[in-house]
Order: sequence, then structure tokens, then C-alpha cells
Amino acid sequence: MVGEHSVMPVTVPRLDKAELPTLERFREVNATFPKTAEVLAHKRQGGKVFGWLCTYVPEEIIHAAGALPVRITGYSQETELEDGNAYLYINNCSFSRSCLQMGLRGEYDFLDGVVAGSTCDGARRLFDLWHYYIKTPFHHVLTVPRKYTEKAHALYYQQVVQFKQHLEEFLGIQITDDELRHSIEVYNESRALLRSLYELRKQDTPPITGAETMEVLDASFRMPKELFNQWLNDLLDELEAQDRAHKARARLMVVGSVMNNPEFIRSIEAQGGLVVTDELCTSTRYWSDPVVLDGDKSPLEAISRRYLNNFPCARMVPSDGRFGRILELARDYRVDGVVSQIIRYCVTYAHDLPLLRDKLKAQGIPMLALDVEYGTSGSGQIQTRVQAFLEMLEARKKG
Amino acid sequence: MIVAGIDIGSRASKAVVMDDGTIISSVICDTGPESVKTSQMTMAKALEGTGLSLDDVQYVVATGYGRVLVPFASENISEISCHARGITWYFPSVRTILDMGGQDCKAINCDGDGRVINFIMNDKCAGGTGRFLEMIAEVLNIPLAEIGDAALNSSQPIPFNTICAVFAKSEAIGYLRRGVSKNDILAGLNEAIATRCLNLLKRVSIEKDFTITGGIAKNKGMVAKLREKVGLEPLLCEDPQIVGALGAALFARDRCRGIGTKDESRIHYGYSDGTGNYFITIDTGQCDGCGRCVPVCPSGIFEVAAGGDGQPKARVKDEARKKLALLCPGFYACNRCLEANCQRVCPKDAISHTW
Repeated sequence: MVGEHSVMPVTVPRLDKAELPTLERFREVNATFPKTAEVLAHKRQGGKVFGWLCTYVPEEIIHAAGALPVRITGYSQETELEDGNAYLYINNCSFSRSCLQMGLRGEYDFLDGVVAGSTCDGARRLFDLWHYYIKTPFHHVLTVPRKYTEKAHALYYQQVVQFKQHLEEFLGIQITDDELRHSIEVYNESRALLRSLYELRKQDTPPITGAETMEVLDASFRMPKELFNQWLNDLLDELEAQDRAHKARARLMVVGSVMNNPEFIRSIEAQGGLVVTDELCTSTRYWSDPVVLDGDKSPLEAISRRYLNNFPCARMVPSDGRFGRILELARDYRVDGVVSQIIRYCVTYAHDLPLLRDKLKAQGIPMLALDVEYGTSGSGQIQTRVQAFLEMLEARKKG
Repeated sequence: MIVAGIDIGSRASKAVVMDDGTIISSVICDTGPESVKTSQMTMAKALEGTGLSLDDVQYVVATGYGRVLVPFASENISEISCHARGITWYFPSVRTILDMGGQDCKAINCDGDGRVINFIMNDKCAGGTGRFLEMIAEVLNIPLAEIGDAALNSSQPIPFNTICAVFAKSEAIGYLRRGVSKNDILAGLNEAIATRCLNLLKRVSIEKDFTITGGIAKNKGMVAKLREKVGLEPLLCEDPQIVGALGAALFARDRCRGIGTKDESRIHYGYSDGTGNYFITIDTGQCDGCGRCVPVCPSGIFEVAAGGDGQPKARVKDEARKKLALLCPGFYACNRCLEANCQRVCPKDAISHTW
């Protein structure tokens, strides 16, 4: 046993083979973001591109206006944020500072507009500074209530109407109900496809890893939805045709602050854990709920109801809705443990954490809480914790 | 059955050699800049005088911050699991462990079998850890081994506003200049560190029995402060510093007895350096020695030879193992340019890369 190998590795991931050409295409989009071939092609044809900042911004309206919505995200790794820190005080989260720095450095200079929701201070201050310094031609911020009362619904509906009007004025067009219905269809299809992808992860040995899924999700914000749907269909076919099976030391769920870095998940999976589901605004919270058109509801009403009643962010009160859905996911995906990653100063998530920990504990699900910065891909300290957590979960299973 | 555990910490490296149920030898050495050399030196020292050589050791488990860089280890297990496992050797009744190491502090809850139930580790800041105390001992010009007793002789501990290593150092120098006694400065710092540890412990749960492990557990002044803060009498083992290595040795013994056996069929070739992890893993349980990987590798690093069971198996050539990252471009890069590469041609899916 001893001496057979020169050094024991900390990581022995099963690397994905190039049996999924479509995944490679998604990777290409992510590698070139923000200036992806798809975005540039859209611009060349005279199309408008709008950046959005938060899952409470109704993307369908931008889509119905014939423009391309892309999600504004920060650097894909933990970076020195000199410019970000110069303009945003450091008690703003590193996500907002990372995005701002990319904006200040001209990486989003192709944007015709920026749309944000007043969901948390990080998003709000980022939007203010973007408005002031980066001077993208169109700016809009939606006030998003924190409650689910009738008054809150009425207020948010008004916000959605105003956003549509503002956009129509800026573009000199009228967005018709039919166009909105069509956009809803496209987006709902995308949500349904992502649900099918997630269904595969419920299997004992899922054909797709958490890191790969994050790569797909990242691409979903960065390219035209029609094309994304087509590719995702291809990917689902490829997954069906292949005989992929990922075994896991433990089935994990990632929860917490905004996170879209596949490398972070890969560093967990490299140690043998498999991320099978998550509660993140870049994934389940983004695609879980379709816009429901029923009865005599106008498409705009349907959109506004969906976005306010979406799988909630930790900012919404009461928190029970979010907790309930996390527990539901944990049950459906047979999760052994939960990894919470919270960006420093992301207070909404940090404040909910002890409550969530208790709820999970009551269900016998342990949680590993990590304090991270946006873009982290897993430092030595994090790796030690993840390894110990996996060892702990394994010991529990053996009971 | 001879097994060993080795714990490469940030400041000290520890090794424990066991023969079935007895500890034959244990050592504590300084961790040098090169983990590989440190691990070899520590192990050599642990075997000194036992009449044994490394070949006599059936299984080695590595732990601690340098655990991945121990060339002769069969497996690595995190220090959190190892401390919990190790302490039950002395005190099966322990449920709460405070491990105070060179660069980090951990609070661990465990059960009677040494299984971790919950744990928490200090974050990025290393204030209040072993390295911090070393630095203060240096500033005060007191040998490290004596700072514990010195603090016990304090009559009036100085309240410290910070345990940031940088600020606490300048604060301590300031007090020294004003003629405050060294004992009072040390007692004040211990107080600040103990408070921080208490907060860490509160984030798991403080249950009887309580123990302190790691190098700082040898500091009487600190232990006294912790006893006062936590409100429990800590059980202290003979040498709290080797608990991690002992836990690793106990895991090694388990493995030899076939408990929680690791997948032995996977063989890892390669190394980690400052730029990343470079390992090629061959699953010899899957590999049937077909040899298709041999001609497709652009750098020709594979060969087929008889494996442990006499069957032909693919392996990485001896001369390639130490410079794997230079020879092999890594799967991601290779796959982009080459239609055929080892991972893709392998019909058994037995080869994987970490880069």
C-alpha cells in the first residue's frame, strides 16, 4: 500500500469527458462573457442589450421589447477590487463591488440599459453608482416590497407597469400583450427545461455534476433564451444518450448568497461530495416558478404576481416560505448535508442562517456554514472544512 | 500490526507510531518550509529507536494542513476528524473539543466513538492562535514554554481591546514601555483569546466532558482562563499536541482492520505545487490493461505492467511521475486539441486528471 503512489492528492475528481459537446458550447459562452459571440451578434444586428441585476427584475418585459436581457455578474474569481473599493465602501458585499469594478473597467460598455430591483443595499448602491459613473443610456430601478400583502402586490404591479412604460418610451415602441404572452412562453419553456435537467439530479448516480449544472445556469443569463432552450434540449438529449453516473460520498445542497462560480462547486465535488441541488438566486430561485397565465389576468399582472411570489430571497418576510422550500428541496433530492455560503455583509442571508440551521437540524440534516467572498473557488481553509464535513456525513451514514 | 499517523500542522509536525493497541513512539518537530521534507524527517524521527523502518509500517494516514503533501501516506483525513478520533483514545466521555493550533482554532462536538457531530473553525483571521502567542512571547522576551506560568502570576490582567495580531503586538509594546508587568500583559491577552474561544465554542454546543487539544493546551495560563470562561474543568491528556496524529494513527489501524476501507484500487500519480494539483488517477479495479492509453498520450507517459494482483494494468511511467505537470498538458487542454487522448479512449473509464 505504501509507496505505490508518490503523493496522495486532496482531490480526485472524475473529470467530465468531452462526451457533452453542448456543455462545451455553454462553457464557451461563459468563458467569453460579458462580450459573448451571442451578445455581439445581437448588437451587430442593431439589437439592444439590457443588463439586469436581481431576480426581482421581470426579464420577460425586456424580452418582449425585442431586446436581449443579460444578467450582470462579477468576476468569476476572487479578485483584488481596487476600483470597486474606491467607489463602494467595503461594507457593501464583494458581489456589488465586483460587478461595479467590471462596469467601471468598461467590460459592460455594450449595455444599452441597466435594470435593478431595490432588493438589498448591495444591489441598490451598485445601481446608484452605475447610474452616476458608468452612464449606461437607460436606467431603471423597481421598488420591490418585502411582504406579500394585497397592498404589496398592488405596489409591485405599479412598478412593473412603470418599468414597461419607461422602456417603451426609451425605445419608442409599444409592447403588446401578445408579445408579452410570447415572451412568457419562451421563458416558461426555459424554466421547464431547467426543471428537467434538475430532475436528473434526483437519481442515485446523477449524470451531471453540480459544477456542470452551474455552467449551464450561467450561460442561461448570457445568451438569447430561444437559443439557450435549443441548446439545453440538445444537452438533455446528450445526457440521455450517454451512460454517465456520478457517485457521491454525500449528496449536498448549496444555499446562501448570490453565487455563480462553477469552480466553487467543483472544489467541493473534487473531494467526493456531489452537489445535487441548491437554493441560489442563480438557479432554483431563478427558474423554479413559471409565470401562470390564467383566466382574465393580463400578462403584465401574471408577470408581476410571479415575480413577487417567486421562490423568495432571504430579504422577504416572513422567512418561512423560503425555509419551507429549502426543506422540500432537501427531501426531494435526498440531501445528506447542506453547505451554506454567505458573502460577507450579505446581511439578509446571514440573519436567516441560525433559523435555517435549526429547521434543518430538526430534519436531521447537518449544515456547514462558510463565510466567503464573491467569486471564491475554495481556499485551503474551505477545503479542510468541506473535507471534515464530508467525513462527518459519511460517519453518520455508517451510523 | 504497525500503523502510523502524521499531522503536518502549520507550526509543528507530529507523528505517532502504533502497534495494535499501544503507542510505540510519538514525536513533535517544527514544520519547515517544505512539507514533503518535513514529513519525511518527522516520520524518520518517530521510527528512530523503534527498530522499525517505513517499510514495516502497514498504513499511514496524514492529517493537518500539509496532509496532501505526505508522499508515504496511504490516505489523508482532515484534522477535525482526527482530533475527535484521537481524543476518545484517552477520554471516551469527551463531547466538546477545543483544538488550539498554530494557525487556527476549532470547536468540535463528537460522540463516544470519536465521530464528529458538529464543528466550527475560526475564519481568515489567525489572531489568538499559537503563532500569535509565539509572537507575543518574542515581544516580551519570555521563552514560549514559560508564558503560561508567567500569566498565572498576574495580579491584575490588562484588558486588551483587540486580538488582531498586528494591533495587539503594538498594544503590548505600549504597555511594556509604560512599565506594566509582563505577567499582567500575558494574562490580559489570554483573557482576550479565551473570550474568543468561548464564542467559537458557543457556536457548536458546550457539553460535558470538555477537553482542550493542540499545542496551546500545554499553556497553563490559557487553560486556567478557559476553565474560568467555559465553566467546565477541561480533561487534559498526557500530550494534547499529538492528539491529531494519534487520531490519524487510529484511523490507519481501522483501515488495516478493514473498517471504513478506502477504495484501494485507485492509484494516484502526481503532486501539488504552488500552481495547483496535478494528479492522474488510475482505477485499477476498472483497468483491464488494454493499453489503448499508451499510444495516444502525446507525451507517452503511460505504460502497462503487472499490477499488485499480477494482472496487467496501466500506470504512469516512473520517470514521468515527478514532472507530470510539465509532460502532460492536463485533460482540459489536451482534449481541446486532440481527438484521442487517454481519458477518451479508455473503454473502462479508469483514468482521470485533476487538471
